[in-house]
Amino acid sequence: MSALGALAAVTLALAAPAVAWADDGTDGDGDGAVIERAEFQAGIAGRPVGVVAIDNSLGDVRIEGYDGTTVTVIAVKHAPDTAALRRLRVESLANPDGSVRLTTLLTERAGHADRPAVALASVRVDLTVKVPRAAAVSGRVTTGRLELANVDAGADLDSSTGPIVVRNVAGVVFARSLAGSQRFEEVFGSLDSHAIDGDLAFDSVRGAALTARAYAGDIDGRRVAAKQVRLSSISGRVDLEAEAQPGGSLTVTSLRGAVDVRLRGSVGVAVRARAGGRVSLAGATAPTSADRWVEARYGARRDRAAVQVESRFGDVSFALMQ
Amino acid sequence: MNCGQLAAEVDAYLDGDLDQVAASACRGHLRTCAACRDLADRQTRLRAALAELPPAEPPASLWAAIDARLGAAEIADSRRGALATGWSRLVAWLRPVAWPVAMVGSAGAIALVVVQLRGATPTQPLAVRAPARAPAAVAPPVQLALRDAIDERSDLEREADARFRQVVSELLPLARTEVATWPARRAQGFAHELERREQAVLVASPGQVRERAWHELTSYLERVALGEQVALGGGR
Repeated sequence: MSALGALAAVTLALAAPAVAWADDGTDGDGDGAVIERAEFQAGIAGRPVGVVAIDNSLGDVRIEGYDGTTVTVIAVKHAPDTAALRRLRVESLANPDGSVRLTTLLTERAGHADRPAVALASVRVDLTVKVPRAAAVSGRVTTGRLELANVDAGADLDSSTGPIVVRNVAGVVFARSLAGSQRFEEVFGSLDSHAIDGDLAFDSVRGAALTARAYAGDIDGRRVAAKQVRLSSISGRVDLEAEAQPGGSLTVTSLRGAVDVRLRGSVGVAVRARAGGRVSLAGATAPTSADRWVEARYGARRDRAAVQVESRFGDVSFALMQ
Repeated sequence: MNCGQLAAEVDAYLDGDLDQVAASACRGHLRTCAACRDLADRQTRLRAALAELPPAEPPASLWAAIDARLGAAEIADSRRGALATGWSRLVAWLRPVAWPVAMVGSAGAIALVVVQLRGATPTQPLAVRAPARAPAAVAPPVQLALRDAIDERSDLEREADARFRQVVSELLPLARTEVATWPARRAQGFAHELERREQAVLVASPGQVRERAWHELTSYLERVALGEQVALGGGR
């Protein structure tokens, strides 16, 4: 694209962010509601996409990496009638630096004399966004489901009460939710996850670090193989099955919940455990000091992984699996 | 071009009123300045909200009131003689132009509201800046549309704030119990760090930024409550 053409595209993107709505049609769904599906491309033609930021407070977001170079958006709008449907907007803003931002909004929600108010619960916009694999992704939902799959440059994800689901992602992943659960499968990179009331689940997480914190939720890890693992919950249970890494460290803690750690691998392990309840640690030494830590060592001394498991008021168990 | 110049010209730029050189300068600045891109984005959102407004229709009661007053004046004039009759003729001559005048007046009032809103700063409530004589029937939809565009998540945000506050109030005693075992200097560092993170929540704009600040605060308190090594004052 010529420089002039690129400038024109930028101007269009900035001056008219309400994108052309490539309408695929409007249908009723049988119960009086209307549904509209549209598909369009976001971004500046010829410009590589660097970051894709999606903010949808009105429904679900599904982000899928693919081998193409453009951002394709499929938006499905649901509303009780066509007037309300017209007030649902999907805005796209493409910047010259290669970033693309998608936002949904409901205009004139409170209505006025000629247009009745629209309840947020009666409308919905679900977005499926196909992004280049190499694009860094930022996604935010409020009550909807946030799904991310098949991207290679990490992600930054936020949800208030909707669940976050991540699968087959490389790069650094950062996820935050208030009451939404979070589930991660096949993450190849560092992962930092925090929830207040949601449960956190990890399956096949391999990266430099896994940090997960839940206030009132449970944490469940399977096939975790990160060099540094730190899992903690205040009120929830923590259950981890992991692969010991040479020279790695695992710290698994709960204030009130039970902690159960099962470790597999051929490297040596040094474990120390403490609990307000019962401690189950095969071959452990008797507590040697007032702080009630008990310790055990397994396997070769060289490159031992350090493990610390603790529950202030619950039970703790540790087992080494061959 | 700097950010101040861009802010002064962004309206004209988005309206397409700038000449080629000035528009090119704006585009160049927008390429390199994320803050100004955000500004341009906000302006386009504002325009979208304003574009959604229905045409200004004077209320039906306006005509009824004018007609009643004219009728009352005619009756009074019929009882007053030649001078009053002359006044009645003047009113009759003015009547065909009264409606366009009212329309122009309403449009002018709306234009004033729009101009005032465009120039409004975040520290001044939008409603305060509307002209005192703006027709009451026109002003509320303007404010409603803007309020909806800006605050559509406010209910959920209030609920989120309440839950985060509750979590902090539950975590603080746990954290303070832990801090009570720390040396005085380290405990002082905790107080400073706590204040810094609370301040970050207070100044954060609603939505994603504030929730992130809440997560930073609660995560920090969780770490302290669980006896983990925590960063104090930027160090570890």
